Amino acid sequence: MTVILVSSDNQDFKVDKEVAERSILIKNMLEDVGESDSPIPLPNVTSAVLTKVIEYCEHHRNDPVQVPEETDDPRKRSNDIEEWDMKFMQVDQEMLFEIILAANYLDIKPLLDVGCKTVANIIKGKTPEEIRKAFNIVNDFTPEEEAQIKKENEWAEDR
Amino acid sequence: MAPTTVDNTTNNNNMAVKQIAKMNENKNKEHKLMIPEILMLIASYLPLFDVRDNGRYYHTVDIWDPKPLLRAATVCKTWHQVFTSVLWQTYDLAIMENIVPLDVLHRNIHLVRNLSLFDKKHKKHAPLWDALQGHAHIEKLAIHDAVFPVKKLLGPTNHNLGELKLSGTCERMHPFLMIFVERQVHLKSLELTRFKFTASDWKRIISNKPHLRKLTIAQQCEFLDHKSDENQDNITEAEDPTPGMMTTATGNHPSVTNNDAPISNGEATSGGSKKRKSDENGGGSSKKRRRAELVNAELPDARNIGTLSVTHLVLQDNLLLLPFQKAILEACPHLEQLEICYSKKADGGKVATLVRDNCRKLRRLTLESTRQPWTLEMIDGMPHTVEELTLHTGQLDLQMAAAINAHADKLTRLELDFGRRGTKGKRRLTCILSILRKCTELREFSYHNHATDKVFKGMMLNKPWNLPNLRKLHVRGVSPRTRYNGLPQVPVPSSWRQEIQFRNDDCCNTRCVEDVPKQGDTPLSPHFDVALLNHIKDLPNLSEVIITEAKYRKRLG
Repeated sequence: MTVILVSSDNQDFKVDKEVAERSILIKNMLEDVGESDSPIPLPNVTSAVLTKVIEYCEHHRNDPVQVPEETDDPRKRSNDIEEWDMKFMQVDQEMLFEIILAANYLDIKPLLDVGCKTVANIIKGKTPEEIRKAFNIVNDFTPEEEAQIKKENEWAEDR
Repeated sequence: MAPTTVDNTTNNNNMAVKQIAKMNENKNKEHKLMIPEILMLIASYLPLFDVRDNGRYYHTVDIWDPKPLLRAATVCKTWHQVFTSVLWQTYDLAIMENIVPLDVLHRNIHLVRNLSLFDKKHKKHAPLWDALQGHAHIEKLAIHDAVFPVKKLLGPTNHNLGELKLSGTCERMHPFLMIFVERQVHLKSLELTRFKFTASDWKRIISNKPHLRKLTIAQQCEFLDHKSDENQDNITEAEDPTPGMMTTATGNHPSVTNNDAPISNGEATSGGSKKRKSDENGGGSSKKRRRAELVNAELPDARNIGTLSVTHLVLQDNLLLLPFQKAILEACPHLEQLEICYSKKADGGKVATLVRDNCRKLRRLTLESTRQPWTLEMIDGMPHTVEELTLHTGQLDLQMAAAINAHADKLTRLELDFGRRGTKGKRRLTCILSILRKCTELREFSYHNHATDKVFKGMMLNKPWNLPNLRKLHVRGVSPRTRYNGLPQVPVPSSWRQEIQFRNDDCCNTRCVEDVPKQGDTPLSPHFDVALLNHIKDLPNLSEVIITEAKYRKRLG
């Protein structure tokens, strides 16, 4: 069985129901609507991003349903990314953020995780200035605030 | 007049700086990486722990390292807010108390969510005590051996704990702890280890927790061992009583009828008979007897606790009585995960029947036992809904392999952990290979502690593997590494990328940590690793292989 997804720029995507249901949002919509051929509008996702999201869901269509993290122990958290996912995430930054936002909106937890891990891996090992440069973020602290924060964090830097 | 001019200039400058900061803040607001929920997830994947070699061979330690989060927190105001709160939310006294200066902790205590209190030395941390007493923001609390005055926690409000671990109690604090547990109605996870509770306590603490999802009972909880030595003598080999009823020895208490006689198997009555004899001769503990009488009087209260919303149950007590297992399994029809260990007081076949009859949604089953008959009965009787099976066992024989193979069409994940127990060798490997031949649906296979001599290698790599769905293969504890520190190594096949990870498992003897960076651009691996990687390289879905400390990722075509 297939479903039709409509992107924000009005492009139709015909996908297997099983693939579309990797998105909890779509799954719930389909359950609510029941058997129906009506297309599902996704006003927050452009066709370019939806193409990528569908590619991800196609690849992971047979993955077992993710059981929620048993533990929040930060020591057991891994930012490991599978080879295919790593390649999949090799996109420009704008697309990376769009994928993260789409995964958040469509409620595709594994994709959201992969996106966030990718960003975390970019941040890792960088100084604040390097991070700002990498993500085009502006420093909005006043010099006093910055000095204050530095002073507060001295204990960690001394270690 | 001059000073006024300077003041005005300074004020103007300050205002300009503030205006610029405000403008920058507004600019950042449009940035996609400013959504707090997403930032929090990103922050959770930043490394908080640095794995370091602790100087002892093959041993590593997790060192709390707040720097990555703190650095990210100085990027901009939004990030500061999110990353700082994530940092302190993951703070746990147990691992970080020596690192964070008290004034810093005091400043951030309102952000702390987890506290583990292990011993009395924490008393000196006044801010912690304040935080605990108004523990509205504490979500996870672990108390070991009642180290602090619980009475102070028993306020009328602030019962917001989501996770509570209690282990051991002193007599003096016990009633207060009991009230404390009872009042935590928002608990999602409760763990009781060596915690004294009676039958009626059990009902009090468990039946008012609608959000409870994970329940752990471990090691000698008193209720589970409530049959006193004296009462053991009164045990009759009673038939299974009415379903849903918990039973125990009657003792002499008038309010308990003989219908409440316990279910007991041979092992239960035979074990400890020596001790009972000595009790009969006047050596019995009067304290224990009194306690048993009290428990028996209260036992009816523990029945019919209704339906619990628990989806993950851990029963790690080898003295767990069958009536208790029966009562709890019947009360948990929504179970999706069960971790259970062998109990010498409960027959495996009966427990398996209970699991099959009551846990119709069970997906993950973990069995821990060195007793082959118990493990075999549990595997034989496990529900067909089980997709993931973990065995911590000392042995694997043909019968067990056959029992696993009977579930071949359902199993997608199998973990066999032999620890240090049991024999390594041909027979075990034959069983494993037979499982691998049958369970073709497996997506993940993990096998812990095995031998890799020539025979093993010959057997393992003799025939092609038929595991079309296998994604992850973990083979741990490859033994020849013990003997050869400087293992003869060959280049890793080009279709695989090697990563090295540290491992804390005692039974895994890793290559020397320093060996890996020395390898340069051409990573090398032991012969066995390379032979195995070559053997399985054509499995269509395989993406990750871990052999002891080395992780190999399959490169994409």
